[in-house]
Amino acid sequence: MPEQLLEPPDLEEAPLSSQELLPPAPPEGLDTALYRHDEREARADLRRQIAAMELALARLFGSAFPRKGIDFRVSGLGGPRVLSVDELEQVRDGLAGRIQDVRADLHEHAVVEEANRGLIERMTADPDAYKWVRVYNEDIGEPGCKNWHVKPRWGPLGMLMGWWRVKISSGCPLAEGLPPPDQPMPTKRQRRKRRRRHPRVQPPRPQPSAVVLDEKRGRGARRRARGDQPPQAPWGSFPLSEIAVFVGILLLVAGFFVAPPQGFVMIAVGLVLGSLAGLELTIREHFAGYRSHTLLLAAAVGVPIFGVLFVATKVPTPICIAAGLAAFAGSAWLFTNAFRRRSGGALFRLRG
Amino acid sequence: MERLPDEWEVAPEPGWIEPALAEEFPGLSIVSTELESTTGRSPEALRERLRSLSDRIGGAQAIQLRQQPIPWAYRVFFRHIGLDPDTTRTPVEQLIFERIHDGSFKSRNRVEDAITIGMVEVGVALRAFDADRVEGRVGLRPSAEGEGFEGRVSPLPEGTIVVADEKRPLGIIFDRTAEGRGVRRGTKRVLLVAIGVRGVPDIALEEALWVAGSALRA
Repeated sequence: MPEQLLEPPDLEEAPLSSQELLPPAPPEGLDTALYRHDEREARADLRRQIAAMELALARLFGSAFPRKGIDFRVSGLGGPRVLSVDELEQVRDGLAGRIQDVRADLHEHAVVEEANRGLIERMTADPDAYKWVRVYNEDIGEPGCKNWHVKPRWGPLGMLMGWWRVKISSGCPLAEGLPPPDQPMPTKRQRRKRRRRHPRVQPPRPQPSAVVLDEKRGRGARRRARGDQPPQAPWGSFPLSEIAVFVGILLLVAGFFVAPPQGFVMIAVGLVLGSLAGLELTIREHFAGYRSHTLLLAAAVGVPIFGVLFVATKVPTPICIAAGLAAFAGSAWLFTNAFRRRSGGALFRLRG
Repeated sequence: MERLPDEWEVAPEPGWIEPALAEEFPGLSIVSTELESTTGRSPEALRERLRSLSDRIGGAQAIQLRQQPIPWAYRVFFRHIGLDPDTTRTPVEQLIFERIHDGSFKSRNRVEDAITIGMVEVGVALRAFDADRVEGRVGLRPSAEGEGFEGRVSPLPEGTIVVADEKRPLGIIFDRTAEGRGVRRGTKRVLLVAIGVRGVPDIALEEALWVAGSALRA
């Protein structure tokens, strides 16, 4: 930094005004001590303080990145013009106040970020206690899209078996910008072909912040979490579906070793239990807009209709198939529309 | 960097500063140089330089900009004259903001592109005027009571710091240019002006004029 901005200027060397402008020049020969102690020195001193504070604020600005929502503005006074002592004091006080505010904001951020760092450590040490919790880089005051997410290994099986682990994301999606300028302009056909091959990458969605301590951030997290977190079951965190699947599997396995007719009944009950549990999960996820299960749900409507018509009536088989297909198609359309409404416009959504 | 014709060299001419203003703001300076050039669409070489400049400037540079000596000196001067540099951005910060916002430095015309290159490379505030519409040397002074300029309906508040020639204001410092005084279609000679503040070395002003001048002659 140029030190001259922060050092007191040598006022004696400054050229004196020959006109009647601020500051008033004394009559010739009356360059007395009174003149040397006019407001010029006060203004110069205030300007030096402002320069130092501006530097402090600039450094805070640099260190605050990538945190958002911190106000660095200090209102101006309607320049550009020479400010009086009072006005310079106002600017200096504004800067001093702003520096204090920014430091306080940064301290608050630091407390939350430190708590989130501790949470990551605890999540890593004991993932079972933090199921589905996700902490983003933003939550610990760092740039980038990295996140720590407690997920089950091997999907539903890991969920049933309690194989939870912290998965670290691979970072931000790759950017797709304009083609290099030295490439020839593509023709309309080439552009259309390229669009089909490489659909435009949507900008990254706002990332949910699962763990935040202050209320403001908590509200935002809850709002965002609605779209990116798996929906909660109506009965809360009790693993009813998982238990049903587990019991269903046990019955299925046991059914093979038990003599008929009890064995058949056990297998049938096991199948029904597993199907119901799976269907409950798909319905919950589909209608929460979390993950689409359109085909599965449509099949859950179409196949029973076909089965009932085929088994319980004497309707010809082609008509049974047609009715089943019609029910499948109609319900698929309805389920697609429902998912589009709940997910905010997405036709389908696949998640790993 | 384009090679300049041997016969051409930027010869910065120091402008004048009204004494009371110089007394209040030691280090405030203005230098100018005159070039024969026309406006209009930038040639490919100039646009290529803009693209190359765009590639060198990113978010990290934008964040750290205000801690660098020259941009910081302008921010301090803005505070000293009653402007909030986060609302009324300093010239170089405005350009960097547009670069980040638009994704690149957009080519506007030959003169503006040359000024953009000069300002971003060095960090110094540059202006351009139609040299044929400037009378005498340029300088900085506070406006007088009731003074205005072309294109402005109301008079300037007294004491507003303006860039002026020896007859009239040409524009507000770091702000609007008087109508008809800036570079426009039909301009034959361009007056490049660099405004320095305390903390900006004289050599930086000359360098900014040289960079912009060479870009203009590309």
